[in-house]
Amino acid sequence: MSPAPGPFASALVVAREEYRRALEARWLFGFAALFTALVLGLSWFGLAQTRDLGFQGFARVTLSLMNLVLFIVPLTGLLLGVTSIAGGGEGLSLLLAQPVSRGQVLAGKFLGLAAALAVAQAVGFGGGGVVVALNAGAEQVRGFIALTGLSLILGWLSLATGLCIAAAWPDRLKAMSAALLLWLLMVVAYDLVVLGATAMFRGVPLQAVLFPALLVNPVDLARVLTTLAVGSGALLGPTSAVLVKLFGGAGGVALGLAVLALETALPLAIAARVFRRRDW
Amino acid sequence: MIRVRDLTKRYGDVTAVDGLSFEVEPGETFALIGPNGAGKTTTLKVLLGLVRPDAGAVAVGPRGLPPGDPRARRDLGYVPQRVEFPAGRTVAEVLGFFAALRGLGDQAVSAALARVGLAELAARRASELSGGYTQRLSLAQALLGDPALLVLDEPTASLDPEATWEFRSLLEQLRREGKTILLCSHLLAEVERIADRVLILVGGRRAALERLDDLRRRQVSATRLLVEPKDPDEAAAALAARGFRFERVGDHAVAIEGENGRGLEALEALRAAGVGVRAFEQQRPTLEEIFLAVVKGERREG
Repeated sequence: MSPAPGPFASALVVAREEYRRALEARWLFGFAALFTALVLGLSWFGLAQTRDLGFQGFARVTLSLMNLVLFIVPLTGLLLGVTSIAGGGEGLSLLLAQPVSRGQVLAGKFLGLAAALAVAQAVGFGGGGVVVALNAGAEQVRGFIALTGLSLILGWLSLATGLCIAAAWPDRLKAMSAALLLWLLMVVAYDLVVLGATAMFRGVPLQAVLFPALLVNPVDLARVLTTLAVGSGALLGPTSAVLVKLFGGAGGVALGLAVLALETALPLAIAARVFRRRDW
Repeated sequence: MIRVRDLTKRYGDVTAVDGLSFEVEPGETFALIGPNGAGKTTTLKVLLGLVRPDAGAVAVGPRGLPPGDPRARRDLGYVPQRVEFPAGRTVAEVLGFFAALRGLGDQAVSAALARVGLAELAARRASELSGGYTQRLSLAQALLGDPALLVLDEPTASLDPEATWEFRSLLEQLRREGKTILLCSHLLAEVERIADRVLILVGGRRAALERLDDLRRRQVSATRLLVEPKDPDEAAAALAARGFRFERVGDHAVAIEGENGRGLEALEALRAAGVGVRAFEQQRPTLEEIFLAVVKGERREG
């Protein structure tokens, strides 16, 4: 009998398979194409209202793109994670009946899908970004790079959350429903809740409410970090002074990134625990 | 090769497996049969490490490891009822993935394909294979690394008769090679052809655990001769006088217990007594009927 592959080697085998499957599914290419089209479209038509057509620089593109990205990327990650486990049927049973641990399977799935997401986003943002840079110059590219990076982290974070949801609800319909609810909460309902909270806690310093609220919702955190990276903190409204104070410096950015990393690791750890203990 | 002691598994209020114990010896072909909801799949999933038991002890493979231990599953190959391999992959690529999980290379892939007769189709897309060939590919996957134990979950349930026959032939070959096989099935014809012992599960409990030879003996002992004599009263008197066990069936027929050639002796006795016989028919229960009798008996007792 051949020696058993090491734990990391087994996880890598699963990761390669997941990566290949995700790319073969083709919709990830559609995702990449969509982002390229968005980058180019927003750059080209951004000044259409002033009857000026032509490529414009990264600052305006980044801010326009940000809202779409923060809408689409979490949904993509969540669905990618959910469908990788939930409703897996005999295929998943067959994989789990192989001489690999469940932790290796879950780690492999995360790594493979995270790599596929990274490739899709690199192609999508990178392709469009290069065209914009060649035509309009690389001025204020820092914000665009920040958006690309934060979008990537947000994709991984939502992928980990999707895996966690699927580990808890292996039924695909239930898992999809839970994922969609969470997505709606993150991108739509959360801001209303925070607004309500600030109204309720009138008299309490704004940052005492805003700061924890921002840390809890990764979508909002990514939005603030990107906006500040572009140098358009004023767009954040009357709270901008507080937000610039909180996240404007290197320490704030580091804290934001650390929180996003934690919000990726935590659901992944929960997913691993539930995945290991569940009957399949 | 498999040891199960007092295995119990509950899903909420439902007890899927209730205090089940059995052992499978090395080189044995062991069948797990039972009606739907009997606990076959749950038992199988416990053996594969997919489901954790609520109580009891389970050890699989020559090293006697618990199924949750990945090392135990190195000694085990699993063939599911039906699995869809990823579209776009060749047969060799599909096997390559499972081989890599076991730390095996191309040589193992080629050997497994040759063993199930798919060597010439290695470059074919797996999604283009017929149902029978797909199941062969699944078997090749299970044979990677030459595990001592094969676990098969209703492997021919979705195959046509020809593919079923071919697949069973492969299983017979593996049995001759000394593999330990655990076969979960509701098709008695399949079990009859290859199994040494049969565990009948009903309601999560062991209804019977018998050697197939014993089941066949039971089948023979339950053989009856149904005779339609010209005069049933005269026939009954003649049979009683000669010590045959029989019963009247309606007004016109007599059913005689006919194991070990007793049926023919009874016919001869009737002829010697001058009782005319209009027609006769030998009735032997199928294994299916014996199985159903066990199931019904267990349900009555349960």
